[in-house]
Amino acid sequence: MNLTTETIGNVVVVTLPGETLDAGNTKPLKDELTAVLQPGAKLVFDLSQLRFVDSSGLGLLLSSLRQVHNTGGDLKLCGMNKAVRALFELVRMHRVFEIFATRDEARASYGS
Amino acid sequence: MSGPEIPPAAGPASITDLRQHLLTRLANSNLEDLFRVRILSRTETPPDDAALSVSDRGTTLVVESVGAADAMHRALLRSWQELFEAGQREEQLLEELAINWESLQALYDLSGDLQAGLGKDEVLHRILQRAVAGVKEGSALLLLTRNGQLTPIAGFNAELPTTMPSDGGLMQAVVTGQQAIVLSGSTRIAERCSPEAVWAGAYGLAMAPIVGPRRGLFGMIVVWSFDSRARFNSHLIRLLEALGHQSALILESDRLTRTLRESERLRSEVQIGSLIQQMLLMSEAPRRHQRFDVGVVNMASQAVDGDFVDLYAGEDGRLEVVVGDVMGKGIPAALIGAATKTHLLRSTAELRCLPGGQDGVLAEVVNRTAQRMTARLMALERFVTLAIVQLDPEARVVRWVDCGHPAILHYCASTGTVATLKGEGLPLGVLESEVYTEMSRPLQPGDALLFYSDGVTEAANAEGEMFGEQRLADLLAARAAESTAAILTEVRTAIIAFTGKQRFADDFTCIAVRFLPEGEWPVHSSTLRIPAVLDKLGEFHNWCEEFLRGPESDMDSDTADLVHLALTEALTNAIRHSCEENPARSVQIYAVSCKDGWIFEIEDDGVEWEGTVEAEPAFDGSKSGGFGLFILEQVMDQRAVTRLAQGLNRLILKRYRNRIETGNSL
Repeated sequence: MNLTTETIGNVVVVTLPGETLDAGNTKPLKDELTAVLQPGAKLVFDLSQLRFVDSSGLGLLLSSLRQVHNTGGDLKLCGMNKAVRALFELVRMHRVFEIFATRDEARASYGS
Repeated sequence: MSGPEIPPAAGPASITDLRQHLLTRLANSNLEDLFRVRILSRTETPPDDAALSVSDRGTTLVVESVGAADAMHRALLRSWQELFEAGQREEQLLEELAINWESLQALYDLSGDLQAGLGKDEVLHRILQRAVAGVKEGSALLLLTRNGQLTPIAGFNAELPTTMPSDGGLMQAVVTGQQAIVLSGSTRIAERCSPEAVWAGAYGLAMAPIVGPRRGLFGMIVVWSFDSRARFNSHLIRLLEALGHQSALILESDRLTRTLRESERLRSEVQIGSLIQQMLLMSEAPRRHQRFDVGVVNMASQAVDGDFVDLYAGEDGRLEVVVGDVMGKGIPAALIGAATKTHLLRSTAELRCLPGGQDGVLAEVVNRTAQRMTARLMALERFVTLAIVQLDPEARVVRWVDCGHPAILHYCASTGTVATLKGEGLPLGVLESEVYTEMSRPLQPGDALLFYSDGVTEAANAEGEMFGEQRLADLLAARAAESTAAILTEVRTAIIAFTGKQRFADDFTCIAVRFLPEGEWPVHSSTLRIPAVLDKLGEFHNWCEEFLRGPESDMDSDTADLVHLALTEALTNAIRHSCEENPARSVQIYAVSCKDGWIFEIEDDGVEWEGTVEAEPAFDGSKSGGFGLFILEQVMDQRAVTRLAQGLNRLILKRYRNRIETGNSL
């Protein structure tokens, strides 16, 4: 897997790769994400490539969120499709994450 | 005779025979100038004014009037045709009978061969010989799975290829579906087969998987013939399936023998005995089928005993259940149980020509079995209690013959009450003059039956009180509307709670059968099996998309999103926790769309579920895990898991079309 990242100002936008994020592929992605989960990082995860996320994928997003929060950073999500949105709403994680429709909106929310 | 001479058609033998038959009749009656008999080319359609038109598997014969034929002539022509067809049917019946005898004889001879100490290869060769015995000019090949590849091991009337050429995906279909297929007609076979296949150009082709215990695939038997007279039909399939089962037993016993020798440490007799029991006495778990949901659980006691069950789902939708118990324990009891099953099978096959769904046939089966066994059982001082039950969804009736077996519980959905199916017959082996009679009562959709061994009702608590039939009846009534998995799990949990013990002195066998309420009759279904590794989830996602979003399932897109998610959670759980991500294990998902909603059966051959409770989910995001079970609970309206007698875990999930919202306010 190759992580596509784009740094605009002090915000790093990460495009999560692949069509699905499930128990079968969270582990390699977790390893890749360590590079971007820097202390104090201002991150946007763009989920627009993903058609499907399960609870393992959600777990990875949650642990990433906690990690950046603990070091004064933040993680926002954008580009969720309907199915992924359904998961977030079902387990109420749409109230834990800041979710935006587009990466521009997510980036703008950092005020940069 | 008028009209051009037609070369013999390449199509089915019966059509060319019919043509010859009609020509002879016409000639004998001096009517040959009135009619023209011909076989149509594939592109031609029968003329509207044909006096007679008969098609068989793509070949059409027509008779046209060319002279002044009148209504009487036409009627005569039709009567000749009917006469011919009656003759054909008779011939077919005789042939089927021969095949049935063949299959029975095969079962007998093979057990004899094994006892005679013949080697595995020799016995397998004999199996092939049996497989083609009823097929004109038949060839057969036995393939075994070696390192994940189907490898030819033995051939009969066929050269043994060193590697299997591609056959166009047919073998793969048999492997994946673990179901036999039969094709007849050279065109149909040519359509499905690649030209490199060993059987390319055959007129008939049949393939049956060799499925071992725990659904492991050992290989397959393939039979084909280039002779157009060879009959490829469901009887051949039944024979091949029986032989496939025998092959699995032989291979499994061979493997065990070798394992035993290699390990240098003999396993205890109990383990071998319980293996015999599992293989010979416990039937394969039938799938939820058109009208029934069936589950079998068995908790083996420390000792081997003679409990046996058999389930047979007929092509006509009927389901037969046999439950029995041999007095006494140990391997002799297990072998008598196996012999009883064989005798029942033999009697059933002898009576197969009788029209199905008829009263009195079951009694005849039992009486013939009793005749064969009673004297020998008496000499051995053993007896067998037995009940054979037939559920007939068309006639809406349950018929049964009881030979001193514990009662069978019948939950009637219309009244909400539980009745017992019980007769007054003595066990087999008690009295030579005993005549068994058949009883029946109405059976309606929504009804459920529960069969149990006496180990269930006689399970006792510390005070010596027995569990009893009433408690069982109450459980059945409470869970009958859900699934057999729910019924069986409830029985098991209740008995463990009652006795305070996880192990039992007696074998514990329970079979639950639900006559599906109309809302659960399958409208559309699909099955997927994948190895128990998480990398294979992609295959599952594709299947999910196809089933959930296909038009036949009639599921709205939002529901499909949620159900896909919930199924992923369930499957991941089975792969991770039950199968421990072992590629040698497999997970199967069977999905049904019905009027009420959607039903999913997820089966895996992993370790028994310990019922570990997943951590509570944290909705503030402070924990990463714990959502899987929550998702299942939110998305599915019913959930039940059970450990089946065949060493499988079965999880049932149901989602209703019109669900009662549980007030999950966000």
